[in-house]
Amino acid sequence: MHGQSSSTTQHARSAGAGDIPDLARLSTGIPGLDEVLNGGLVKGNTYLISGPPGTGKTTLANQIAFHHVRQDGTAVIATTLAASLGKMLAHLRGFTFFEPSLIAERVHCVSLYDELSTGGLDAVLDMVRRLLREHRATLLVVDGARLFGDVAASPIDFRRFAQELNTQSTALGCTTLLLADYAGEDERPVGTHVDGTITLEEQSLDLRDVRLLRVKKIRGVSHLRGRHAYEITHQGLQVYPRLETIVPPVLPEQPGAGRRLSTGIGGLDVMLHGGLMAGSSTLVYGAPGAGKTLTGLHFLAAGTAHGEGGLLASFRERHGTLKRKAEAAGLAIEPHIDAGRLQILWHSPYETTIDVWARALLERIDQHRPRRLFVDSADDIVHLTLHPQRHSDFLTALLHHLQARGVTSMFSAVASTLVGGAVEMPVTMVSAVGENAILLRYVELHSQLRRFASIVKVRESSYDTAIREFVITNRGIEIADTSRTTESVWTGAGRRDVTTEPETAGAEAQPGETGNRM
Amino acid sequence: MVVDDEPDIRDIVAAVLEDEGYSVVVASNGQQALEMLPAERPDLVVLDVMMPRMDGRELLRRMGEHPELARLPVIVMSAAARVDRVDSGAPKIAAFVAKPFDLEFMLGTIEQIVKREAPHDTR
Repeated sequence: MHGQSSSTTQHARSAGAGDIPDLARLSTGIPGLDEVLNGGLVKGNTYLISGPPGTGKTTLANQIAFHHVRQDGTAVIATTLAASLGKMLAHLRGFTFFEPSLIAERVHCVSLYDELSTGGLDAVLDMVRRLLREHRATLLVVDGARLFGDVAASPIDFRRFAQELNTQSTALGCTTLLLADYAGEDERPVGTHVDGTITLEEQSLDLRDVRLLRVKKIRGVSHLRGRHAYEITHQGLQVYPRLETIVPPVLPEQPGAGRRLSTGIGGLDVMLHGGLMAGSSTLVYGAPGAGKTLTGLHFLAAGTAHGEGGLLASFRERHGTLKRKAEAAGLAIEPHIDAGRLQILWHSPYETTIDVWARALLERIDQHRPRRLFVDSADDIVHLTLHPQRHSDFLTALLHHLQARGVTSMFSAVASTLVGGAVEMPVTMVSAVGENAILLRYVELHSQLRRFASIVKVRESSYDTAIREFVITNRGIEIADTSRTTESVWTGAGRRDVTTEPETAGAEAQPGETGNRM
Repeated sequence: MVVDDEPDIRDIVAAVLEDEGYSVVVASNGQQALEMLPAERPDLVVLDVMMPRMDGRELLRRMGEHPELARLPVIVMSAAARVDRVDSGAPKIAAFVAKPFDLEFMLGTIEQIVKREAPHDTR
């Protein structure tokens, strides 16, 4: 519409079945929201932004408004509440999207309180129409829209008003956002007369509060369905579409697909009959300190040694600790980190949601194109996924995204049993990201805790089924070259295999063994 | 005169025309419009096509039977993809406007037609 540059107008992507082609779009400028909306708001449509107080409705709408006017649009921000505009503007000053110089120039703030209290809904329609025409507005935000329903003489009057407001805005080429603190079914009377409904909500999970955005209804176009996490920072809202709803990119097959990759641990490569298949995923699980992280560092270092980029996504240990751990095992990762070949992405395992991490991870992968990824650990992913029914779906979707990008991945996971007894296999993780599964565990042998490795599964390949002892030395993980070390190790309390002499390498402590738990 | 069975469309078109200083009468279908036209004698008819009782096509045909009504300029609003499918009949079809329409564009069209058709200021 008036004065709006083509840069603010996008067109519906053809991905969704049933889309009406060439619907002009208005970018929200909110990271992730256009993705959920499959291209942005439909120009000239009316949307209900619904949610309890404090969920960020006003922030969301103003963020869209300031983005819109920066793209040469003009916005009218109206409120039904007395004397709230000044306070609203004061609250917005803390956000980076807020620009005071745009107020009254491109963003026109008005109160509808007098019209509503003296002339009712008809007076509001007249006022809004005049404002839109006077300012040649292309975006209208009405805060406190719930009040319209409260002052309507009857439900029919309210529905008529909502319909007329929608028609009026559409006819004037203006996209409209109605903000209301409805909860659940309350929004139905107005919800039927808008073109789209976006709800903001907070869910309490144990002691945590999680913000979730949901596009409940949108006419004419498909969207990413379900609830998506969002966060509010000083930059405003950022939406993180649920990973499962995003179709992985179709990229050309990476060179070397289908070849074997060294794990960086010679004995393990032997057990795997030549290494891991490029593009596969491997779960390394075992007791705390058994050597999972070090296995991952070997895996990454083996790649960087051949010029392959690597990414270590850690929820626990940070750069310094990882560097020391690698150095103690003879793995010089620092030059590769300095050169950018090895990236470390640390993310807090607390007070966030998994889609925030997934977005950061995939952006880092798209930016640096690593060929190998080690995630430490899958347990943290499960912890941040919050909803148990989502664990498997998320991990599976993550693997699809990684494979689409040609990434060979390895995930660590903690086994519940430290020593002895049965080791419970993390079935969800194994089925989702464990095309290959490696178990590292302790065994008590002659009053010593010894480490043993075994291959539990390898997809579409043969492997050594033996349980082999390994040690951690200043040369890293070294696996014995024979399995005839002990017997009955699976029970956790092994006996020396007295039929085999001499003892195999690794059965006794090797020179330089650190004894550190990795 | 604005003729449309949808009250919200009828009201917004009428309201914007009144904002611009026009005198506006409204009718909710072709039958009601036909009854009002001889007495109201508007300078222009803004006409929807699909309406109950008497639709826009029939109203155009019936207007064509009256020499004075047949000379009235008409703007036809239609949600049909191809508005030229409307049988124009006798009255002069001054313009077609596809629904959903741009109100400012319609207003500009109305202004041009009124100026062209009426030598004096009709406001």
